[in-house]
Amino acid sequence: MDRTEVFEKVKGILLSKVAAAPDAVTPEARLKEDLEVDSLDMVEMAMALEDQFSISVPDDAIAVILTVGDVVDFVCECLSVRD
Amino acid sequence: MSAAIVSLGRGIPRHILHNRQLEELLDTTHLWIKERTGIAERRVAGPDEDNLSLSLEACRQALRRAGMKGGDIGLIVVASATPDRLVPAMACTIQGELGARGPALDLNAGCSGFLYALAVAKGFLAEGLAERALVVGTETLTRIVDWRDRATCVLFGDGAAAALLAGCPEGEGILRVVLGAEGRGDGLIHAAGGGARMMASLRGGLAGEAGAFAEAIPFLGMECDGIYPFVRMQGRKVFRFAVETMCATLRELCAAESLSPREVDLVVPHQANSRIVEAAAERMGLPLQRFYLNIERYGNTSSASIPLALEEAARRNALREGDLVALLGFGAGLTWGGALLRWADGCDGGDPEEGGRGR
Repeated sequence: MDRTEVFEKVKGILLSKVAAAPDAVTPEARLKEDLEVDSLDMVEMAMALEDQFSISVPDDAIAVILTVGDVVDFVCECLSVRD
Repeated sequence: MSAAIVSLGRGIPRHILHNRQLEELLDTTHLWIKERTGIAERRVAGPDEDNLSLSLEACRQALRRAGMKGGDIGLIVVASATPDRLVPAMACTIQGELGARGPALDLNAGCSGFLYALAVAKGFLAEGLAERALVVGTETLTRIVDWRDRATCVLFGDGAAAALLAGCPEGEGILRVVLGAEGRGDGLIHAAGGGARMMASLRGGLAGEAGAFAEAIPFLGMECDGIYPFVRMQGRKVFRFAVETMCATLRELCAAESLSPREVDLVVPHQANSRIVEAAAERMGLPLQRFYLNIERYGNTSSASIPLALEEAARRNALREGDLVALLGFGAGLTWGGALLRWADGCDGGDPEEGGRGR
């Protein structure tokens, strides 16, 4: 799985949780401010990431994630995907 | 022998506290609370109400609906995380007030309490210790929340509900109960107040005015400074635990009975947060309509939430003869539990004082 595929999956997860327009989900988009992701959406997103990528997403990892790109970075790091 | 729920009753406080009223007191809004929890209002026990008065109302309604009297009851099990007092068990006072007989006890298993109490009562009936039992879930959580903490105080409400249990043949009534606990999560939902340690800090206690005792007899000394008495909760961790536990418990219940979760007609979950239920439904691949929710009007009433929702579901005809019903709970401890029931009509038989079936 490459970075683009990870991004598309992350985008799919986010769009299933919040009412954002697909175009709004860019790597630079801020989860809370731009996409209106709330704290419970974050937990649901973490659980969905765990299911879809078979990785572990601890709470302290969620705490430092601010943008869509951060989510992709985190997943890629877990999967050891290189740019 | 198994046991079945013969009737249900409830006792809810008169006073309703709506989110709009909280807007005036806290830095929050009705919409913020509603979107994140599903709660619009909750009942709050007034000065003249407590667990005992609400529980007695619930028990008397359940008795009336079953056409029974207190003397027909041989066991009372009360689940509560917010008992009115330390000693004696509230179940004993309820027994005395109702004119019931036999053993009576309280237990605390957090918000899973009603399911634990159901299992205890079912076991006592199977042991022949009683023929009929009242199982009560009762809470006055609004008395142990910090009203300065907008993250927790908006979540909880007060109320009581009771189920009258009687023996029945195997394969009917309560088909299966599963229970669990994970004590390493004991700090996720926590309230230190009201216990013996805190009592020591009060006037007359070993760290309070009677601290002179401790000077004379050092092992009596108690350090009680810094006890935060109210409910604290790590919301994100609890959310995740709740969703995962609900899914796992339903799967375990159904597997044990060689059933598919899809065959369950109605799930009555602990009403902690509608978002938890929505997330769990999605993960289980079950339609949300199959989950009974009344959290909008009551908030999280802990041990009382499952029987309050079940009573309402029965009263509003959301349950039919032969329906497969799953009760799912999770809470402080951490604890969890589930019960699979085969619903028998008449579980919520008429209440003469309410006119017919008491709708």
